[in-house]
Amino acid sequence: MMQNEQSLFQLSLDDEAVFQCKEISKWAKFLGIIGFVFLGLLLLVSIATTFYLTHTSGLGTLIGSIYLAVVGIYIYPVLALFRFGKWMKTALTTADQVLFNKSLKSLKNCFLYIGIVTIILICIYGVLALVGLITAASSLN
Amino acid sequence: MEESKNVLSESSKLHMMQTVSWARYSGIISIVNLILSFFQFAVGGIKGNPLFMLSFFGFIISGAISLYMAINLLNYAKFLKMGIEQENSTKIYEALYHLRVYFKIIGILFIVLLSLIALFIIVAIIAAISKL
Repeated sequence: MMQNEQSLFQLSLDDEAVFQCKEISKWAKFLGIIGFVFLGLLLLVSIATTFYLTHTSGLGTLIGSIYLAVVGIYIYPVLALFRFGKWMKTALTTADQVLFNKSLKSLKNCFLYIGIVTIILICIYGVLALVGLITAASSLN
Repeated sequence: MEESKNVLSESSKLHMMQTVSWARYSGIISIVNLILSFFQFAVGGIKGNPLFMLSFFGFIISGAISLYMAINLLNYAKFLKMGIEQENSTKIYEALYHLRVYFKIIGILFIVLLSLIALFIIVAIIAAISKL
């Protein structure tokens, strides 16, 4: 399998492309860490909102759950981006082809996940817009 | 580094090609979002938004950043597809350059955002202490 894969090698990354990959991996790792920090802050806000608003109004659990859902949704792409940065850097340093593939797969998963979440959000906006139009039309009648 | 260490295997190319379509899709969505924001801004202007000039500058700055990011993402997708299909290392380099710029912009924006949050927290703490 390995020999078969090596015989398929045609395209290579020159030194400048490797430099770009290293820079990308640095930024991706940084963005992953920043993403974790933001998600941690959002988790704290979610907990604080749940406790604070439950005493003042009945919306505490609902708003807290929405924040928690956002944390749950965005943890995967942040993790994928962090993994991409980490694995890409290690793969380029140690010239590890398997790790290089894994890092690219992680980048692909990150883009794929964000794309799917965006499609779902567009669908939700579409449904909300439709409901808004129907409500507005019915209130006119 | 030796050239043999930096070769792209078939699975590497496959993963890269899979990022192409999603990166292009994200870029197009960003541009559509920008157009919708423009309409929102225009409607606000027609309706006589009292903060029109403030929202104008906000729209120009955020619009320019979003457009630049979307262009970089679309260029990444375009050059990577060309590079893999034509087996051209220069195009791959171009694609990686655009991806790097894209990540760099997001990184800088996050640094600015974190700085503003830190500043806000410091101001809030000072205000709270001065009240005591």
